[in-house]
Amino acid sequence: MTHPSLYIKSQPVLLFNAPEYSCRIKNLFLLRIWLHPDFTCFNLGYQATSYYIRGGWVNISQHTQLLSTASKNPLQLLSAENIPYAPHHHHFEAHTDWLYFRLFFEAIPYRDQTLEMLENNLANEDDFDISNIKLTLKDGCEVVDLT
Amino acid sequence: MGDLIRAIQSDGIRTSLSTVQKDIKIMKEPAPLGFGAPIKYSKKYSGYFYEDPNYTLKGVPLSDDELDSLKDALDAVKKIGAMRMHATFRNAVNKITATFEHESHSAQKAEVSRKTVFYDEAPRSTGADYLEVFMNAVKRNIPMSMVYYSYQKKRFQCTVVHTLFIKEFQDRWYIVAYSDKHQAVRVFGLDRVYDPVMVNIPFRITEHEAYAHFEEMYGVTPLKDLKPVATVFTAQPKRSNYLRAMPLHQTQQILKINENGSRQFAYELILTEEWLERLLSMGNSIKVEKPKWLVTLIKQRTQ
Repeated sequence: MTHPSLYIKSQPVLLFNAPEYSCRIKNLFLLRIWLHPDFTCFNLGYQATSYYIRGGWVNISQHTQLLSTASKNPLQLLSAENIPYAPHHHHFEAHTDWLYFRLFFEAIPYRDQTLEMLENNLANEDDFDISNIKLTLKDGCEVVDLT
Repeated sequence: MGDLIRAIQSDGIRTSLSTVQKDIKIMKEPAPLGFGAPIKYSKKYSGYFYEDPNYTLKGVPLSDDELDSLKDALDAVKKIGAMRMHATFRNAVNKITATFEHESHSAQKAEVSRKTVFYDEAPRSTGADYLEVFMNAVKRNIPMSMVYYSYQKKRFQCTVVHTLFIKEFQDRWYIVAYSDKHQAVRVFGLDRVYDPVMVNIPFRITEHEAYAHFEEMYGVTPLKDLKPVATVFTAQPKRSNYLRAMPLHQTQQILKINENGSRQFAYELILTEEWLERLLSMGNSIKVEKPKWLVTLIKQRTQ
């Protein structure tokens, strides 16, 4: 695992705990957002359910994008940690299992904005889409670097 | 150099000029890579010598008995202690052990290795990975942001914690901390924590009674009130012997000894989930009598 705090440069790394957002998938949780001069990191959690046999499976599209009101262009996914890219799967073993994972996107400007995460251009109800992610700079806290 | 090689070979050790030269180089290198030996070359005698005649490789000269005791102690620390502690401590122990093994290699080479003590090596719990970062945070009074997964609620949480202290119970690590999300002091199992990171916000100093409570607690998860109550049970004779030999808690008392050897035990502690599990683990070799609500709870759990 590459810890985001290891990348600290001149600009501070800002951490947003429990941001406000909307998501159709009720067992997908956006837990934290890291604002870094070089990337944006999403910490996410997924709780398997009894809807699928043995909790089913998850993966993430390599084409997942981040849309920001502070950026003209969509921000591309740089890497995913602890979740495989489609078409590979992470299979749960029981419907009580869970998965914590990280998605790294291109850096976003340090300013107040609203974000949207889209897994695919053609929306599918099972996609990991998250909308109305409110990012207000004053809510962020600076990460302490002791290295 | 020729004299040196001949002296080594006379001890039955096969060596070569290049090996001896490499060994001298390692001896001269400063610790921890080498031994920092003050070795100099004498042109007059065409050989090597210690500039400080009092220098010894061992630093502290130890007798064979002392070396054996040290090895036993190191084995115990390595097997029991190191797995409980964080990476820095483990590395330190490994360095000492490696040095010791290097030093004692020649003495041991003729012996047949025989294990004399078998330790219960519990698998390393995942939470131990974060021990060092939490220890740093506690020492420096720095709040931590972390993601936490509750086994009980089957839910992710994100909170900032102001850690009061770290607690170990049966090879599991916990932090006792004020949680901003809960606005109260909570216990978090480190095996359920993800990506803890120090954050630059004021540390909330909590003068909490948790310090006192943990002395009176078996485990970390209170069942009811944070007040010590008496647990009383009668144990069968064989179980009684085990409990007398190794008390479950420092408050253990024997209230009554029966003719057949069964005994009535009493404990004064805060009742916890872990205490309940411990009582249940003894099956029908004990009969819990007090408190009544605990007797009811045990009945429910065993049905």
